Amino acid sequence: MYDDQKAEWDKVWELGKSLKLGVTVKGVTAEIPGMLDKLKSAATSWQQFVVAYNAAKPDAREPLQQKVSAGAEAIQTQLGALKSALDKQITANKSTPLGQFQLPQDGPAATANPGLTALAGQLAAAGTALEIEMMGGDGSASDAPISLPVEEETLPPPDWLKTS
Amino acid sequence: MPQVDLSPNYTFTAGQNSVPSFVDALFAPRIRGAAGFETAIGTAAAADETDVMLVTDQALQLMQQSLWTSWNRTVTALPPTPMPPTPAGTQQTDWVFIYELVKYIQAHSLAMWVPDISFFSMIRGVPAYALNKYSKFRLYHSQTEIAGGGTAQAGNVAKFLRLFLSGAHVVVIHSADDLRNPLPSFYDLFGQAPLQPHSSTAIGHSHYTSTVALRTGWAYPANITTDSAPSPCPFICALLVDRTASRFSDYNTFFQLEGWPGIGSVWTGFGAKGRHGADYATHQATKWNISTYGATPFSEKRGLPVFLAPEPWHPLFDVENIARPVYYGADTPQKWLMQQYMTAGTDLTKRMLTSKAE
Repeated sequence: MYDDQKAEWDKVWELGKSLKLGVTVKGVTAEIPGMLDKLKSAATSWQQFVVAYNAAKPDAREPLQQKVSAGAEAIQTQLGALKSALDKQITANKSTPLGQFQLPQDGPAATANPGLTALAGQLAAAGTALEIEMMGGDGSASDAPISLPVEEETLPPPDWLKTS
Repeated sequence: MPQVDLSPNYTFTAGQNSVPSFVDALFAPRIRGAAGFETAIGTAAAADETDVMLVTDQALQLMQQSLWTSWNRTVTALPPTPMPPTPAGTQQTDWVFIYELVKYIQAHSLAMWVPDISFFSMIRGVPAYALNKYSKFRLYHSQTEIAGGGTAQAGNVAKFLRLFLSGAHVVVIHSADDLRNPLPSFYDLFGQAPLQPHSSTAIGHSHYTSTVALRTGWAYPANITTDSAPSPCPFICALLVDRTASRFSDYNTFFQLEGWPGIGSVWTGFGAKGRHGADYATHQATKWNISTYGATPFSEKRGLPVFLAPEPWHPLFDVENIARPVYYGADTPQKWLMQQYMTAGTDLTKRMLTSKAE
């Protein structure tokens, strides 16, 4: 059940566990862990709605379908905010000058940005998987289709019908 | 290739001349051994045959007769008449599936579209085909035909039953993307009585993996949970039903008779071993679908599904790639489509070139 989706999200949470953020950026650094928590909460709720939708009888699905759609939108909003914050943090880490006795490998760009970049990439993958899920397609353009020749046939009754 | 026979005086409960022993015999190495099965599929493909049956003609006819009895009983006792009891010579789960299928076919006047293909070569041991056209067979009976006994389309129904028993991938077209007047979901019927009590969830199958991330299909019937036939045993032992896309409000439905249900748990891997796993290996080697009773090239992964749809619909194909039928769930290029094993027949190539020039 939602194996592909769950795997993508699990990777996000794993990368978020031991995240180093780097330099302090006002209005960004302190917010990133909270944004991850909000995203996890939204993704978990959405997965529960999906499970409930699939388990529900057809005539009970309409309200759940609305929750699934609303949940997906909430995830996309959280994703957008988090990706923007990560971009700002990565840029700030890169542009921070090294101290007089600091080696390049000890600077924030080296210690924090690989983890932040991996998280941003994984968020993009999870977001794409979510969009595919909601759209029911892979987003590629389709060429105009053509109809095939069709011949209508009526087959004679089988011999076993005549003898049964 | 050796085949398994069924005696006309068979019983559904275990014993001599019984369906359980007949079904279990189909999984004996001498019948289903991978090398022999794969060779038989290659030979049949080269001879332009579109199935390999592991059962004798007599056994196939007995199964068709049993399922036809349910079909005809449904046609002649449609709602508002209450659902009749399980007909004699039939198992309850076979009857319930055929009853619901035929009710749907009758309610929406469905026909069947079958690919007409020609073998053109083996590509690394896998049969490859040219698609020539589709043939259409009406499956529903008119009121006049029902009044006359409901047997007028028996030849077409027998063809459907053979395709079904050999494992053809059947797509029921009901999406608003494909029909001006969309039909109710066929998939949803498995969540309602009378099908629901006999259905369980199928997890992690290999169909429409680009568009159905959740893959919450139905496995039918639900009571087969080991790698041996139950007693009593139905003829339909391993039906897989799911959506062609996971857009929640709209999709088409597919169903196909698999060889055997995937047995196991989330810890051991669903269907990776045992009967289901062995059939999947044969499928991977030949790209033919494998059912309990035989094999067929009519797989969506080759772009060769059999369609059930109301008559105004007709099959549409991608002008750039004839191995890609266009229906909701497969209307964008899919990574699971094995287009290298399909090409267009001569007439179709002309039509494609004309269409592109316009």
